[in-house]
Amino acid sequence: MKKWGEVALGVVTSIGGFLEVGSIATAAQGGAEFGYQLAWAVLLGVAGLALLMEMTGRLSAASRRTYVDLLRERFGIRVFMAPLLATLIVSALVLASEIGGVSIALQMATGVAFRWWAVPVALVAWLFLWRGTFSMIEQGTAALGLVAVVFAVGAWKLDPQWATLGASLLPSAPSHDPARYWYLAVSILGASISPYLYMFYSSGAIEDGWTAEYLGVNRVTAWVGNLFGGGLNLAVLVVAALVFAPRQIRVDAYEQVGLLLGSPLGHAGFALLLATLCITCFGATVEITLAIAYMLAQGFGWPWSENLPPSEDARFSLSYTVAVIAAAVPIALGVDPLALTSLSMTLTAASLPLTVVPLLVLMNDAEVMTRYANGWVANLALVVIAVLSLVLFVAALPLQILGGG
Amino acid sequence: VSGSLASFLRPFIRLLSASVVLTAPAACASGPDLDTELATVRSWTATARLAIAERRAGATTATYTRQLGDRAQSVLAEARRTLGPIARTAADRQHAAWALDSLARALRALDEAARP
Repeated sequence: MKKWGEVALGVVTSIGGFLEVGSIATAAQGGAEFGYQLAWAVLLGVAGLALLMEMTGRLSAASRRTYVDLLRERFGIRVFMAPLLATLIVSALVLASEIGGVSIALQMATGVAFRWWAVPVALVAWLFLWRGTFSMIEQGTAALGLVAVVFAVGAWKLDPQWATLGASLLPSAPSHDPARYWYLAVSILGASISPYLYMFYSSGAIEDGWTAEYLGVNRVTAWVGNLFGGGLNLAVLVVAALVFAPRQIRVDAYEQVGLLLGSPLGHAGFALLLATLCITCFGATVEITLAIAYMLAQGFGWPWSENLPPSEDARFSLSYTVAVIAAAVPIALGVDPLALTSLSMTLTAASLPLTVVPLLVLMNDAEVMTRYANGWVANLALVVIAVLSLVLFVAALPLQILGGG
Repeated sequence: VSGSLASFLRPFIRLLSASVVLTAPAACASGPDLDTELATVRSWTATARLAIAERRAGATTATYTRQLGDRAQSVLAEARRTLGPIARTAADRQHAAWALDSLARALRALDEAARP
C-alpha cells in the first residue's frame, strides 16, 4: 500500500516536474509559429524521457547505486569527466533559465524588473535546500506544480480540432521556414529530455531507498507521470496554436506568454498562468540545483543526501550553495531569460549522447543489473534514443545558428 | 586532457566541428532579413492588440499591460533602426512604414488601456 502511495506521489511529481520554463517556452513558440505541427516533438520527448527515467530508476533500484556513481566506476574518472562537465554546463544554464522563469513571473505580477528578483529567488531556493529534506522538496513542489493543469483546462475550453491534433503526433514536413521548424523541434526535445531529470530521478530512487521490489513503482511512475506531464506540455502548445498562431504572434519575449490563458479563462487564467510559471520554475530550480550537487558528490565520492544535515555532507551542501547563487548572476545582470532558455535547450539537446550512450552499456552489464538488465525491446528503444541523441548533437548548434534568431 | 578522455571525445568534436563549419557561412551570409523584421513588427502589433482586448475584458492587470507596452516600445525603436537600411526599394520602404505605423498606433491604444 505504501508503495502505491509512492506511485501516486511519483506521478504527481513527474507532472509538476515535466513542465518548467524550457518546456513552456518552447511549446509556446512551437504552437505560435507552427500550430499543432510540432506536437510529435512533444510526444517524442515524453517517450524519450520516460524511457531514460525508467532505465536509470531500474539501474538504481537493481544496483542500489546512482547512474552517476556507476558511470564513473564503469568508465573511469577520465572518460567520466566528459559527461560530467557537459551536464554541469548545460544544467547550470538551465538553472539560470529557471531562476529567470520565476523572476519573470514575479515581474509580471508585481511590475518590479526581473533582474531584482534573481538573487531573492536563489536565496529562497537555497534556504529550501538547506532546511528541507528530499521528501519535502519532492512533495512540496509536486503538490503545488499541479496548478499547471490550468493549461489543460485552457486548451479544452478553446475546443481544439482533435483530428488535426492527432494527425500532428506523427512528424510531418514543415509548412514554412524549415530551419526554424527543426530548430524548435530540437529545442522541444532538449527541454523534454534533460540529463538533469534522469540523473535527479536516479538519485531520488536512492534517497527514497528503492530496491528491486520497487521496479513496478518505477515503471508506472516514469511512464504515467511523464505522459501526464507531457500532456500538459502539449496543452501549452495547443493553447499557443489557438491563441497566438491565428494572430501571427511569435513568442519573442516571456511577457507575451502572459497573454496565453486570458482569452479562454479570463483573469483566473492569467493569475494561474503566472502561478504555474512561478511554481514550476521554482520546483525545477530546486531540482536542478540538487541534481548538480548530486552529480559532483557522486562523481567525486563525497558524502551526499538531502536528508542529511548540511554539517554531515559539507561539500555536497557547498556545491548546491555555489550552484544556485552563481546561476542567479546572469539573470541579476539582466541577461534575457528567453534567449538564455533557447540557448540552454539547444545545448541540452547537443549534450545528450554523452549520458545516453554510456547508459546503453550499463543497462546491459550483468554484474551491475543482475537479472534486471535490458531485454531486446528496451535495448532497441535505447538505441533509437541514442541515435536520436547523436542526430540532435550534430544538428543542434547549426540549427541554433540558422533558425534560432 | 588525458588520452582516454581525448579519444572518447574526438568523434564527437569532429562531428560537431564539421556541422558548425558547414552552416556558419550560410548564417554569416544572411544578414537581417526584411521579411523577418516585418514579421516581428507585425507580431508585436498583434500582441499589443490582444493585450488591449484582454485588458479591456479584465483578464490582465494594468501592471502587466504596461510591461508589455514597454517591451513593445523597445521592439518599435529597434525596428525603426534596422528597417531603414534593409528596405531598399520604394515598395519595401512603404511596407516598412505601414508596419511601423500600425505598431505605433497599437502601442498608443495599449498605453491608454494600461491606465488603471
